[in-house]
Amino acid sequence: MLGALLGVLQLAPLARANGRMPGATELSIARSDGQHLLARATFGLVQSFDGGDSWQWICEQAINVSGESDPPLALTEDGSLILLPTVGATLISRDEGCSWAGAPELADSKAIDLTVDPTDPKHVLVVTSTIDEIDETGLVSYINVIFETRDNAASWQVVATLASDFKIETLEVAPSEPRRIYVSGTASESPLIGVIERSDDAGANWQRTTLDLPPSSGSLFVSAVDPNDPDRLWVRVPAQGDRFGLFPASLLISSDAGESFEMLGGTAQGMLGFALSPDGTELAYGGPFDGLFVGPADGSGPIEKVSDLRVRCLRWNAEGLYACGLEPQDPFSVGVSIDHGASFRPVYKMADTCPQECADASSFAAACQQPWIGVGMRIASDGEGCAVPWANLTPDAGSEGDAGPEDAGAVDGGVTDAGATDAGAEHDAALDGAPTVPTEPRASDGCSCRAVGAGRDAGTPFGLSVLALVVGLVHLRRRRRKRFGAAAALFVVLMGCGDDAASTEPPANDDDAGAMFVACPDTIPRFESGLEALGERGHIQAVLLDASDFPARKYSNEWTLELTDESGDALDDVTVTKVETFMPVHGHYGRPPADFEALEAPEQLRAEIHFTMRGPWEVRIEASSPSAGDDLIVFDVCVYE
Amino acid sequence: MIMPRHAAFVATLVVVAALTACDSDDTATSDITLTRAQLLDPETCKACHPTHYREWASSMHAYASRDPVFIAMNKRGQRETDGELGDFCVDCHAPMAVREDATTDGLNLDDVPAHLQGVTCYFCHNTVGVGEHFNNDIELANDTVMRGGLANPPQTNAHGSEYSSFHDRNHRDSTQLCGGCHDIVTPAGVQLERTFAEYKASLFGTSESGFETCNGCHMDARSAGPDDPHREVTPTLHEHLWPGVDVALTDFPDRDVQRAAIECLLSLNTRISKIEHDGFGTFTVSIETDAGHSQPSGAAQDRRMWVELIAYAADGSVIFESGDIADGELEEKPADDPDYDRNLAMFRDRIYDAHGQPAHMFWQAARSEQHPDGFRSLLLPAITETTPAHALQATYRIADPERVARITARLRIRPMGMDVLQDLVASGDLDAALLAEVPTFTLHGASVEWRPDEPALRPLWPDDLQCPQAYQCLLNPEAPDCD
Repeated sequence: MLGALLGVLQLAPLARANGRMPGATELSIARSDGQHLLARATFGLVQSFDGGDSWQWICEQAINVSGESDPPLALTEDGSLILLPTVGATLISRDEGCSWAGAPELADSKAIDLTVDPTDPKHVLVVTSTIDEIDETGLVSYINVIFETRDNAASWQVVATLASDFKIETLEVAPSEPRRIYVSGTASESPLIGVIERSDDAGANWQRTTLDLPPSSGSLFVSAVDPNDPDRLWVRVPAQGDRFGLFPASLLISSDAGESFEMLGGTAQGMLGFALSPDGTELAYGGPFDGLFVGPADGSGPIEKVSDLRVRCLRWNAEGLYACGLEPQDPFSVGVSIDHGASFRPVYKMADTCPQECADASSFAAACQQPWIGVGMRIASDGEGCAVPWANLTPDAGSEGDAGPEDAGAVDGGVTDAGATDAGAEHDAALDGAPTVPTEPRASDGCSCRAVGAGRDAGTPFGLSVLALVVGLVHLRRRRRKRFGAAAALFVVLMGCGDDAASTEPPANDDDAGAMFVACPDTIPRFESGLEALGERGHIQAVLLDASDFPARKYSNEWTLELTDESGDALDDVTVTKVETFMPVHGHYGRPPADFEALEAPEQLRAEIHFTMRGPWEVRIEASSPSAGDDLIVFDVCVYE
Repeated sequence: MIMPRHAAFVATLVVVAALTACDSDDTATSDITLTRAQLLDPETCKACHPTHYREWASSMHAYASRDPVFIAMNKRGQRETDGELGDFCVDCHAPMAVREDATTDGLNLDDVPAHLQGVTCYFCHNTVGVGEHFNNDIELANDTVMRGGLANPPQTNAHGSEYSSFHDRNHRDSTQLCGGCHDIVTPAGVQLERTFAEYKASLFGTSESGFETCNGCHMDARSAGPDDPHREVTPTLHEHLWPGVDVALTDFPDRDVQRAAIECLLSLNTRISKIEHDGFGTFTVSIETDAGHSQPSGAAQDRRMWVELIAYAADGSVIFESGDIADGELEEKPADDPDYDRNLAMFRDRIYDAHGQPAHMFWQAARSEQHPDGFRSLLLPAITETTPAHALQATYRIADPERVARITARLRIRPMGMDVLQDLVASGDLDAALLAEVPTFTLHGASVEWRPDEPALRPLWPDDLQCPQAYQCLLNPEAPDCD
């Protein structure tokens, strides 16, 4: 029974598993259906089919893409998704992201960028840049091809083959003249030459202009073409290798189809967002460190900072200026502004995240169930959302079986007030020392996932909450404080949907806090013989029998451990596959590898553990046992000197 | 160097006085009170603090005004600016020499007494305030009180003893003392060296969890040995080696210790986190630092850090290489050089003059329309509050990627680029023989092997490199774990 309960309560590593803070990095809005929003996130894709009232999540494992990359994506007229992964060839989904398949015509080509025809959303162009040859000096020639589909990605044809001497980066079509196509890229490496290829006849013929780029520049991105003037375009120049937007970037404008450029603006760190207003008179750009800037698109007036929003994407349509922010510092992951960025209405908050509702539940579940437990629930429960185990939920759009704020009240007796939530976020930002991002309340804050096949009351997680608490108490009795903490925290989350009492917010920022180095928080248990840690899945536990140093010290430590099953019985079939150290507060691993060896007793292990600096660390032990199962055991350790 | 007769006499007196001042069994029972003049001399400190002294004596703080590259650069800079540099360089490289009026421009360092050379014990331990956080705006008490990090220091007759948050490696103030000289703004207003600014912007410098001081990493703790006179006061001491990346190029005490300490620090705090093949011949290497500042840092316009990547076929033959730079070899070759490496991933600053043209020497750096900061920077950034993902990517394109059986990738660093040093040699300011002394460090934590059928990277940490024993055992072979 206990094992079953623990199975429900598996808690996998935090959302930072791929090294990036969870959040949205791009937004696509279907041209044919303004209610269909698609956000690319660091933990997969999230979609809304109701204009942002509810959000459904596809884990990155289901698409086989890494959250460390930001693959270009687009929505066609019929809702098909086109995604250009960092690894592998173009992927298409025709069932809202539940399943993905390659496009045979593009299978041998490295797709780089895509654009939806502004006048015909079933017409999509994809540009590919595939290595052809590399000469003895390392000079690369590419097979540069533009493909198009005119039937919502059902079939693809070659539109144009471009010169082979440059690496393509972006593709854009002029809204006012769809036969005008721009392709940008770089040639040479030192000096780096920016290349703009322009076609006036839908790809039949091309003219090239070049732009000298300063050292340490990464590339040349065409970011937009004026909706009324095909000769006016905006380009961004990021830094070399700067996938995460850490270095200065420049914004340039050309009014003569790329023949010449003028500097229009820049950011001290990455310029991850750029958008042009629908009428082309205004532009917006920004980045996660620089904030949001808005001004006249032609540079005829000042482009002014309007917000400290940590911009990770921008999109501007008739509904307003959409922006990706960074929770929790920003009060939303996607918001929309109707006042030129002065204030935003939250559209997507990570607490809104529910798993995708897929017809082929089995294959989707196989890929995403574990990530939901490990990542999705954490994301959804970091705020005021209602994270519930996989088996007990399904996304709810707020219609039948409405799980809006009223349902939250039914569960826990308290209703999350959207305004209060936003105010809380603003409070956080203020405490953080940063100006606030003004927001407007949203109609649909609160729990947004409901139980499968049951009325909403039956779907409440109260029962699970009680079970979680029971397990927590059991663990307390067994002095496994960490597991009790996890179970109790889950209990609070399950019980506390939208309840202020369930807050997981960090303590208020004290001006004096941090003036002194404090090795570790009090929550880290005393490091002593007999210290226990139960695996994330509750299958295997480890007991520290001895260590070379108490307390643990910087550099090398030798530990002797015993591995048992959940009830404390020695496991004679256990195999340890990896021992590594991780420093959560800095998000890095220690010196690899930790050496380890099995002792005479098969359940005993001697490991040499390396800590590279003082502070709080995790020692992560991956173990496998045919009788008990696989598990990840984590010791929280404080390293003092 | 021949010491002037009177200086030798004074030095002898200082040592005699210091030995008398210190009873090695109990530092609190000194029977001589040292004068300020005596405290100015590190040799005085040596008698009671022999281990600290030895560590300091091997450090770049001690070497700062002996460094032939510094001397060459200062000499050339003074010449090319008609002396406008003034004490800009020497104020950090020999601060007490400037404050004691022994030099105004660093051109007469041969005549400056030894006890004023480098960054001395007195300079740091007499600090009572820091003004601007750059260009050595550090305030000294100029008294005979030595400040340190012990909350209740034992009192000695030798000198006054006080706690100072500037010397407490657990206190934020201590970072200001380091930052005072480890951020440099040139007379032209270019923020040339930004180590402290990088630190303050990083997670290390915030008040969030993750806060750490400069000396939390650069002044490692060690246990006081059984014979250490400090053992009665505190069982834990802090090294005064300050390993970074610069090394002594000439004869200097314990050069091997300093180099080993540098190798350890660099190796433990950088990593190649990922090598990804896109399936079409492009390999992307993700590199990151765990340091509390960018890497490289400091004089990043002179430093060179790069990725060495070699791809092997199944038969062991090399099918691709980049960054395979031999000791003493120029790192970045011109495009018309037969050995030009078009794929080289180089992390460094590049400086520009007032016309926006590339410059070699820091006094040429200026703000311009093309380069408003006077430099462009591509350095591995420190982790910040909001971006745990702080890796940079280096991209390589390899023909016939299916032939690649394994790839080795290593991060390597040199304190000074060969182009800068060769320039100083060409101008007659630096001895060409010194170029052979410039080391290339391999950052072993960022040395990995990739294989197409293995999900995880194989670390290439040398079996015989144990840290911190690699340098601590050179200092004290009798210490535990030094067998």
